[in-house]
Amino acid sequence: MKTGITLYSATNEWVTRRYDLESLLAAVAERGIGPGVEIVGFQSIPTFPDVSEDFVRDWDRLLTKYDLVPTCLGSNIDVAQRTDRLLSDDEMMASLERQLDTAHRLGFGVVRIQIGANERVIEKVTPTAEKRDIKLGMELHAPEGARTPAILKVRAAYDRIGSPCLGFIPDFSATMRAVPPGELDQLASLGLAQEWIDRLIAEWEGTGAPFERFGRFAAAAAADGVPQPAIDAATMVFTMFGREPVESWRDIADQIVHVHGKCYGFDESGNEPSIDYPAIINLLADVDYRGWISTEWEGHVFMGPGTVDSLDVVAQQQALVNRVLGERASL
Amino acid sequence: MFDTYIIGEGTIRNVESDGAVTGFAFDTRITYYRGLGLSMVEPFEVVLDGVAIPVENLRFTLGDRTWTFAEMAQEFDARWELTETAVLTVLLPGGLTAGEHELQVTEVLRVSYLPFLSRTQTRRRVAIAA
Repeated sequence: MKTGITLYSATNEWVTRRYDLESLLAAVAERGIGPGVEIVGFQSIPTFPDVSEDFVRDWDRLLTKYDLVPTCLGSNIDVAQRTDRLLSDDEMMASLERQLDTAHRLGFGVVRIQIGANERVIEKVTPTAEKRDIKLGMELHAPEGARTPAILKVRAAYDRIGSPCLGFIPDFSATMRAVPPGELDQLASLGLAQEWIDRLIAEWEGTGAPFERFGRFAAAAAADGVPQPAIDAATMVFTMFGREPVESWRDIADQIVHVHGKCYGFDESGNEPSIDYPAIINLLADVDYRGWISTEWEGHVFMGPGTVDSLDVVAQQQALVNRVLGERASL
Repeated sequence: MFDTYIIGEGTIRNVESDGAVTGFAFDTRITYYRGLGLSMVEPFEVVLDGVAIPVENLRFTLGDRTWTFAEMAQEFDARWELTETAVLTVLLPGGLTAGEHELQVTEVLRVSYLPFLSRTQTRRRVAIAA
């Protein structure tokens, strides 16, 4: 498998305007955290979903100059554009097709789709993806995972449609082993006392759907007078950090078209306390996954601009991935 | 994490029209990880010294275009990009008076795949530069 970055990892640096597209690509090349480059269209390209001929030429020039490879373009269907109704299936299809055309012009072979794209929309868009030779990868992100009910429906639709262009993008957020320490620090700073942090962790590790577990926590905390902002902030623990088993990735192993190597932070030994990297990387190697892993640092949700250098954390993730693969090769 | 950008630090100022102070304004940034079309930006909630400002008295400016929030709900072309600074103007005859005020602003976004509105709030003690 091959390593790369999603520029989304540098969200803090986008916000502070530390980099523009060229200087960020230059930094990725200089630090050796490519060569794969994934982008979120609506984050990195101001005119997205449209791009000018000049932009396309410039993008090609930058990739050549810095020796980088376009891997995956993150699409978004804004289904709630209107206040009176959600987009119709045909409107969603039109939105996605426009983004597929742009992905094709920019040289991306995979487009990330999300659960907002229903089975009917996926089926309608499949011929365009086939014509463009683009794989549609549904992101399997917390609170969903390879075996959750909503994704089982998508898997059934994929089986029915039967196109080689349809696949999945595992995001390690779905299969986490702990709540990131940085998130717990953030909740503590909002006034969540240690006993409630312990209770939160117990509910997170407990049984039931994520919203049930959060509901139990929130009701008990509110009854005990825990500040509401701290309770609200704790929602994220159940929506962004999934508890699906690592083994669940095997279920969709032959449909993996790209991987999001989610990470939040690393300890002194270079390990990710909240994500079992050795188990996941070994599983991907076992199933002979040969595609890209985009490093996706999402610690910006609790560590805002100016706290850490996002690209340093990306480098730590890739060092860990390479360490696991190296240990495997030496067995 | 991006709540500190809702009221741009040091950007609060009174605005004039035809020689009269008609309100005050401040720079503001989107609190999401990407840009959104303006129709997905819900009315901001502005509370000045504990008093809510009616939405009709708010104006949103990007570049050289200005909208009311009612107009923004129908704006399907213009987008507010991640790195783009907008200006929120509060129509208030006389503007902000001298001295400190407490300004609380909530940015509300209709983010597509979340089943609820994304609300990010900030509060600042502000004063017009003398």
